[in-house]
Order: sequence, then C-alpha cells, then structure tokens
Amino acid sequence: MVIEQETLPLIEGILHYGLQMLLALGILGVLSLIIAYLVATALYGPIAGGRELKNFLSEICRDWFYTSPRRVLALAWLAMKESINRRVLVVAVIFLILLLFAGWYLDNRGDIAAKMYLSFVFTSMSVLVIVLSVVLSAFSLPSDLNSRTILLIVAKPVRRHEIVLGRVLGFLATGTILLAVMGGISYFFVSRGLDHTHVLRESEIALEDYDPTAENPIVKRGRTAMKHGHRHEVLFYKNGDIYVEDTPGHSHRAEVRTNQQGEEIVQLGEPLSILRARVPRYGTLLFRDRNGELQDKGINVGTEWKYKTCIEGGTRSAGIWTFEDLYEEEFPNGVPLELTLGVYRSYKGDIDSGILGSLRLRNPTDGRTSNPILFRAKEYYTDRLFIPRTVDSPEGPLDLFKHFVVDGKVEMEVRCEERAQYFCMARYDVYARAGDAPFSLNFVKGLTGIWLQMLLILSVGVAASTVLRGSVAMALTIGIALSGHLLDSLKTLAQGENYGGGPLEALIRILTNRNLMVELPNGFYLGPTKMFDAAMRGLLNAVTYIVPDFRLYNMADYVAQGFNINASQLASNIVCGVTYSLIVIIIGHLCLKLRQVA
Amino acid sequence: MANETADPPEMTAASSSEPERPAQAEVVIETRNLTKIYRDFWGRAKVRALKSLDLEVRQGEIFGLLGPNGSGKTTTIKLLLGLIFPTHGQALVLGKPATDEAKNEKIGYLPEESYLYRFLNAVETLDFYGRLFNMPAKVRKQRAAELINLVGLEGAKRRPLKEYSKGMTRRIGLAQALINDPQLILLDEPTSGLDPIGTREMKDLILELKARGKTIVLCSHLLADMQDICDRIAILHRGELKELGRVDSLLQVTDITQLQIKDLSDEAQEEIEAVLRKHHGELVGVNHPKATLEDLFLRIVRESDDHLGRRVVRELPTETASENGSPEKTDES
Repeated sequence: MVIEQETLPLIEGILHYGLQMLLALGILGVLSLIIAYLVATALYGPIAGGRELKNFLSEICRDWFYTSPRRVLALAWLAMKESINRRVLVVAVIFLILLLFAGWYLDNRGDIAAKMYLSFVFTSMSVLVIVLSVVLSAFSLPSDLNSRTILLIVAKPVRRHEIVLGRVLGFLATGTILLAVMGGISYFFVSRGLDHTHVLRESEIALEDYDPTAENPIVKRGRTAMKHGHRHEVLFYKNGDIYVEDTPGHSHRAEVRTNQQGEEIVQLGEPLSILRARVPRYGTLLFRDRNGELQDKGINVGTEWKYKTCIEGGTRSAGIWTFEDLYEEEFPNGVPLELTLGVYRSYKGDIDSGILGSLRLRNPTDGRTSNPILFRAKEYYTDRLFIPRTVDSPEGPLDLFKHFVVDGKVEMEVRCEERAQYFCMARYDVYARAGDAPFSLNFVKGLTGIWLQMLLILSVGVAASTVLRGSVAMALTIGIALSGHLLDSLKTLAQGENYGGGPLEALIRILTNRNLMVELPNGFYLGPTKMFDAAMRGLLNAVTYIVPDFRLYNMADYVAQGFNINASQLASNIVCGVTYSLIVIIIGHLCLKLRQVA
Repeated sequence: MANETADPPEMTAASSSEPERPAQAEVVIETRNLTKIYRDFWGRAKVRALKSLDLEVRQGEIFGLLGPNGSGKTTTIKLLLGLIFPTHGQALVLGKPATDEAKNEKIGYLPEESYLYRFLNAVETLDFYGRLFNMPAKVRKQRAAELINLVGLEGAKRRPLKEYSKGMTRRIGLAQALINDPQLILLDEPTSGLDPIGTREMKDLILELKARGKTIVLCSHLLADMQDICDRIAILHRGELKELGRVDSLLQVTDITQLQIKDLSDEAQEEIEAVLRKHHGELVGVNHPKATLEDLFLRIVRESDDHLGRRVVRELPTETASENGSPEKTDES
C-alpha cells in the first residue's frame, strides 16, 4: 500500500489547505457583519446601530488585547480539575482493557502485523479521544450555566473569551495527558506484540552446491520454523556472514549459539525495522501511450482504481517518473526503489510468479538510457528494486550519478514486458527510499494528528456550547466532526455528482418508487424540486468549505503504513489546525459576549 | 467570623480615614431608567422584572434593596454586575458601564446561593478566584489564609466544598467575595442559611467593612437585619421602586410624639400636662417613636397591592432628616 495524499511544503500546504478555509470564513465573517449591522439598525437606527456595532467590535479587540495569561490558566486549571472530577481517566482504563482483548484477535503475521497493530491502536485512540472531547466540551459550559457557577466567574474581571479559551486549553491539557498515557501504552503494546525471535536448528540447515571460485559464495541455506505466521530464509556465506532475508518486511540479526543440550543453533534476535518510518522521495509521473506519445494519463481499465491508470504490456507504453532530488551524498551506494504497481491481468497466466516488468534510467538532458532492469510485480505487493551505482547500458557499465543523474534529476521508465497484461500506476506508487526516520518520532507525529483533531473538536464543542444546550452542542460537534471526516462524500453530494439528485428529488423517488437512474417524468413539481435541491446543494457546498478537513489530521495511516510524516506537512497541519481553532474560539467569544449568563 | 478581632485583610488602605458622609461622597452606583423586561421566543414581554429604576449609591454607605420575592432585587444586582443586559436605561458602576468587565476588579459579589465549584476545597476556591483577579501567587496565598481565618473555616479548609454545611458554604462564599479587597460589595441575601450567631457575625463584619470605607449593597427580605445595618434602603415591589431613603427617617412615625421621662410622679405628670398645655417646662426627652422596618415594609407592600402603579418616590434630605425629625412625605400623590 502507498499513501495517496500529496504532501506539500509548509507554505504551499498552508496556502493550499488554509487559504481556502480562510476565504470561506472571511466570506462568512463579512456576511455576519452585514447581518449584525442590519440587526443593530433595526434596534437602534442606522447611525446609532453602526456605532453600537463598532463599539462591540472594538470591545472584542480590547478583550483580546487585555487577555490575562494568569486568568486563562486559572480557568484552564479549573476545566482540568472538572474533567478529572468527571472521571475522564476511566478512558485510559477502557483503552487498556481494549488492548488486552485486542491482543487475542490482532493478526501478528508477517508483513501486515505492524500495520494491523498500529491501525488498531491509532483508531482506538482517535475514537476514544474524539468521543471524550465531544462530551467534555459540549456539556461543560451548559452545566456551569445550569448550576450557575458561571455567575461567580463572570462577576470577576474575566473577559468572555478567557472563559472559552481557558476551557479549551484545560480540556486540551487533560486530553494531552490522556493521549500521552494511551500513546505510551500503545507503543509498548505494539512493540511487545510484534516482538519475536526465531531459532534455526542444525537439522534445518542444508548444504549448498557452490562455485568454489566465486568470491563469497553461499555455502549453507536454511528456513526457520513458522512463527508469527512467517518464516525467514537464512543464508550462510563462506566468509561466515549470515544473512536473514527480510521477506515479510523485517529481518533479524543472527547469531550462532550452543544451546543447553550442546547443540549448535542459529538464534535470530529481535525483529529489525519491523516498525519503520520510510522517508520516500517522490517523482512526477507522465505516461507514454502504445504509440510512444506522451500523455498525462494511461489507459482506464475500469473504476477499480480510480486514481490509477494503466500501461499496456509488450508495447511502447510506459510510465515515466521524473525525480528531481536524488543526490549522491544521500544515496552513496545506489538508489533503493519501492514500487507498488497495480497489476491488471487480461489473462490469468502464472498467478504465483507475478508479471514481468522493466525499469530503464534515462538522463534527462542527453537522453542516455540504461539497459532494462527487470523485476516481477505482484498484485498488492510492494516490490523493492535496488538500482546500484554501476548500471549496465548499451555503452557498457556506467555510474549512476555521473551518467544518468543531472543535478539530482533523473527519469525512470517503467514498462510492462508481458503482452496483454497491464501495470496500473499513480504518482505515489514509485518512490526512492531515502533511509528511515526514527519510528518513535513518527509515532509521536501520528499522535500529534489525533491531538489536532482533539483541539478542533474541543474548540468547536466549547464554542457551540456558548449558545446551545449541551445535547444540541454535542450533536452539532459530532456533525462537524463527521462532515470533516466524510468531506469527500459531502463534496460529491454538494457538486451533484451522485445519482438520484438532491434531497427533495430523492424523496420523490422514494415516494413514487423510482430508482436512481430513471428520469423523473415532467411535471409541475420538477422545476421547484430542482431549484430546492440546487439551493440545498449550494448550502452543502458552503458547509464543505467551512468544516475542518479532518482527513488532513488523520496521519495514523502514515504511521501504520510505515511512512515518515513529513515535517513540513506536520507543520502546515499544525498551523491550519491551530488557526481554525482560534477562529472558532473567537466565534465562541462573540456568542458568549452577546449572551446573558444569568 | 469566629475570629472577630482579626483585621479584615488588606483593607488598611482605606481604613484609616473616616468614611466620607454619603451625601458628599462619590457616586459608586448610578442607574438611570434601568429597565429589564424578559421576553418570550416571539419577543413578547413576559415579565417586567424591573421598571425604570433610578438609584444612586454613594461611597461608604450600606445600601439595602428590599422587596418581596420577585420584586427585582436580584435582577438589579445582576444588571449592576453586567450578568444580564438592560432592556432600557443604563447602569454605571464605579464610573464604568455595567457591561464593562474591568469594573469587576473592585467589586466583590456574594450571590444568593453559593454557586461554587463543589469539587474544590476552600483553599483552592480562594486561590482560583484570586487568580481571576490576576493576583500574584504570594498575595493570593496570604489573602486566602487571612480570609479563611476571618470566616472561621480554618479547620475545614482542605475539605471539598461538597462536604460543607450551608452556613460554611455561605462563609466561603463571603470569603471569595472579599478576595480582591473590593471597594464595592454586592451581597445577595448575605444572612440566608446562617444561624443567629452567624447572622450576628455577618452583620458585624458588614459594619466593619463599612468602617473601612467600603460601599455595600445588600438585598434581603430579612428586615430586622436590614434595619440594623443599612444606612439607606430602597424598597422594590413588582419591579418598581416604592420607597427610598435613610432607614432612621423612613421609620419615623411623624404624627405621634413620644415623651421619655424618668421618675415621673402623678403630680408631675399632671403638671407636665399643664406645662404642655402652656408650652412650658422641662422635658427630659421628646422624640418620635420608631416603627420596625417590618411595619413599614408590610405597609408599602399592602399599599402597592391596593394601588397598583407607580409610587412617586422622593428621597429624604439625608443629613437633616434624622436630626430634625422632620417628616417627609412619601405618600402617593
């Protein structure tokens, strides 16, 4: 599997994700101002109304200017105390129990084990933290208003935004502690769950026929017993080196020991890089069709992979990746590539052996091309291909960085070599693996994603609860969180790309028992129905711009799939998330300012 | 309150000077045409909680707001604190609009019920409210200790408030109202829930605060308490101001003259009567008997019920009223 989401540099990321949202909120702000002015005019007349509005806005600004950190912290402390008093730490216990049971059911076999474990812990943590945030934030202010404890707060020189801000920060602090505890438990659980060793006995090792003239031939070979659903092939070299193949995505360090019975065994130690954070270096993708013409997209073989398009085997058709930043210093021994190509077979062939493909390097300036490097691609597998420093070419062996890479730029052409078979690909399916980042750091980055979601939900919940009752505020917060997670489906609905029309048309279809594909018969109601649905779609479209894009903050996939979370991506997410929260807190401030608390 | 001799903490700044006489003193609270109407969803007036209240409270006085339940006392306090917004009119507190949070720096407020966080203990409570006044940690600690001592909760200061009795809750409520050494103290039913000793202590404390130059506005329907300590009172009924003035002058019964004479023999009495007839002789004391505040209160409530509508209130000239014993017309016109 690969990560399909584009990661953008910091500023670009902020501009891309933040600007759209800011623009939408800006429009909303201007609209609110106009409405506020109209209301003020209705109450006080046009001039006095304008003055009142101006005074109100300058009061809001003054409030923020005179923010007292001590007051905010005091209110945050109170919120923390309150949440602890409401026994939120029970959540950590629930999580622990969940993990205890999960240990029985989680698949710890081979390659998918790490992914399963990580997905599970991240999903559980997200769900628990989100549910907790919704409940904490939506009911806190309303319960204070109900019990009137708020009276003693607002009778002090507390600005209303400090109440909102303090509450968000207090709950955030509790949530952070909880998340840290759960994160710690998860890390322990995952590393313990995946930890295993293998033993290779003398009887499992076979002698190999080898060429005595070879420099360092393999002299013995063995296969470990099945453990955690996988085996390792172990190769013994003449010079005494032992190589453990990392077939299920990880390897082990091997050591020859004598056991208690005096038997010599090969002991494989703890798994190496089973938890990893690959740093991918992506290129851009162009296609060549069967006539050799450059195209943006390949062939569409159906909607199995909407984002992937295909190249036809045995023709000139190819996918060409252009990498811009492969430097000798970073890859002194050669470039390790990882390919996750979709394989579309028009006939089944030998299902076990995979489809033969080739990769050619090309110098982008002089067009010099290497000999094909062959590989076999299997469905749903990530194939690893190592491009060595010395590459064969029609001119003889050439150095990778001297002859093919120019200023970090090189082209790689992938072809399918079997006739009537297809490789399907998208930009992020092929990348150079520029080493690994520390996994623990990546784990923390993944937790940061959950933390940002928590921040957003807390802000939305507290802001909503300044004007709404607890249960209504909760429903609204859940609605926003869900919309944020399902933004793609919402956009499809808002842009009318779905079948069956808008809500009214759908209702008519249900009532008249017509399926989605049938045209509605002409009738007097058709016009108004379409208009109503268009209005609803417009409204929904506006909503899609306003709700925070929670998919951005769901970075658990990166951790689970073993990809490093880009620092700039993380930073832009943090900037966007915090800005959004701040805007929501300001909205909460306005609402609470206008509200009579007694 | 257990430790009556203890100085109320940090009140020394204003305490040395004798409080100014109310009439010349600075106006601390001023309301003009203050009106509060609660409306229903459709904007129709549901309750007229307060109607055109004009009040002035001056520095250093104890001002009582009296009225039966639902007369608008608490509404007035809430309007003064900016907890609710007036429908019409304006309230200025310490020279600032009531909705300005900055005015709260110098205000202490004890609500009718102690709306405190029950999961905090006394020390945490006072520390928390001290932080809301932006007080540094050292000052907070010192003041919290002094106030806990003042209200006599020394032995229970680490117990969560949910374990407190009503009287104890009231005391800690008062302590939080004083945490910032306020200039103006608003007390809503300060003696409710207190036993007679507690009530006495509370009243003493209020008088002591007044002696230190604090302005105190309290509302209550415990009339005897109000009579003891208030300098001036306002009586509200169904949201309208029905009476306003100095307690001593309001309670004067102006059509009766009372003589207090020591060791009076029958002959002397006859003689005095003769003297009185001739407007001669030596009187030991002539003054007007006082009704209780309760009498006045009941009379006004009864009158107001009988004659609904606005009762014109002219305040007594504050200085001369009690000394001259001159009557002041407060009847309906």
